[in-house]
Amino acid sequence: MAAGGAIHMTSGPFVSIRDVHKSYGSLKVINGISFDIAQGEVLVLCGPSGCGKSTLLRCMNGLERIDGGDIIVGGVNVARASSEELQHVRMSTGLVFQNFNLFPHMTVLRNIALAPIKIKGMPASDAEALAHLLLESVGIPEKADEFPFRLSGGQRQRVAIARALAMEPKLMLFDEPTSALDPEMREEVLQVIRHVHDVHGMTMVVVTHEIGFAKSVASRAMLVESGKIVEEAPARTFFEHPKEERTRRFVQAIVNE
Amino acid sequence: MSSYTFQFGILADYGPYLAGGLWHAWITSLPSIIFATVIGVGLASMQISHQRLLRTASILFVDLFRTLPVVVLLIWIHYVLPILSGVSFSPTTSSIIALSLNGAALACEAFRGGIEAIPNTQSQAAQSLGFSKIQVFRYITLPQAAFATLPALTNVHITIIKNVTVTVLIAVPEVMFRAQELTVQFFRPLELYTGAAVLYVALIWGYTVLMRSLEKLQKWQPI
Repeated sequence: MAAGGAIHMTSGPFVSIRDVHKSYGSLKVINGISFDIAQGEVLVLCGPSGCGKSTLLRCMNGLERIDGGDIIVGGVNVARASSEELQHVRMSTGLVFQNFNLFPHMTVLRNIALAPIKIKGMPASDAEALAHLLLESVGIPEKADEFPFRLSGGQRQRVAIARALAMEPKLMLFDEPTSALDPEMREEVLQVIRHVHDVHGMTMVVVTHEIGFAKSVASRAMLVESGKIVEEAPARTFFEHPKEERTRRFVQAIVNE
Repeated sequence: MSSYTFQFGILADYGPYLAGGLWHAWITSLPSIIFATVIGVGLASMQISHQRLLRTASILFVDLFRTLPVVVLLIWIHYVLPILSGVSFSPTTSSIIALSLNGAALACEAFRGGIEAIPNTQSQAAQSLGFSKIQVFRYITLPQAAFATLPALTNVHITIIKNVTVTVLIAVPEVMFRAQELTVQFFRPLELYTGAAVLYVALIWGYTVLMRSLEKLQKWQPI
């Protein structure tokens, strides 16, 4: 690890996933997946529910331990990291959940400012200024002093994105960020993710079935089923001219949703 | 119906003396409530720790003091412990020790329930930001669990106050002790014990109102 423990930039792939296996009891959820993600790349993961895509995302953050293989994020092997190393990986990796998981007992501002204050030791006034700035960029500056229960789903997800961005991550992981939202709120959240990508240009992995979004933002898309990669291609090719019959049927199914 | 004629005049004369027992009930129960709550938080955090030794120690403590009847515990601390250890306590101190130990076991269970009521996704969200396990407990789990625990904790505190009445056995001069004392003197048990009942109900009801106002301090709602 680099001095201070921060994720350091390597010339190779930013994320490297090597022959990863993961089971829950006798149920195999990830069955030998390998792929790389380059710096600045946006990868879209799709697949039927229960295919292992969300689990894979959580494994990349060390929230789930894998049974075999390696997950290397910014030079740190998450699968074998000590709890301090893991903490450093998490500090530079933002995770956005399907159900937002905001802290209900804190105001929106505090939700965003707490991590920089307590983890990085940033002065409270600086962290709050940063939080106001981030709320501005996700389009809800007026909600700073509200508690999360007063926000709509779309607003909650935007706060969750701002909360992750406050740690200035090098990698953002989105776990079905719009699937718990009403259709009209989905677009506002996708817009924010697009904006984050345009402004920060950070590496992203997005689990989503939003084809329009995937085609316009993602560099690559991947179909996962039964814990294995079915097809992997540049996003446009993947959705418009898939090679595999399984991918064709899957894309057809989500178009008809 | 009995032919007993109530003469509440005794309460006009000795009511203030009887009510004075409430002060002793309060200075016995309040420290017990504080100790029980603080020790209870400690025991509950030991139980969710990853150190097996801490978990086991906490479980043993809780099982012991939850199963020991308060009367047995009180008599043991006041009469047996001094013989074994050579250290003896005043009736009030013995009572506070017994009620704190019993209350801590009950409070631990209340806190554990409150902590378990916080969804796991909360600590995952915090961990994903880079918070350490201790920080997650301090900033995310505990503040939410505190409010989730309040109603159950109020019950524990009420139990502690009610248990003060058993201290009559070692002559703490609280309300029941004084009611007994006056009964022996004036043979008016029905009036005196009715008076004692009213006084305890008033004390515990007042405490309940206080705790309910704490619940109102929660400005947020779970989502």
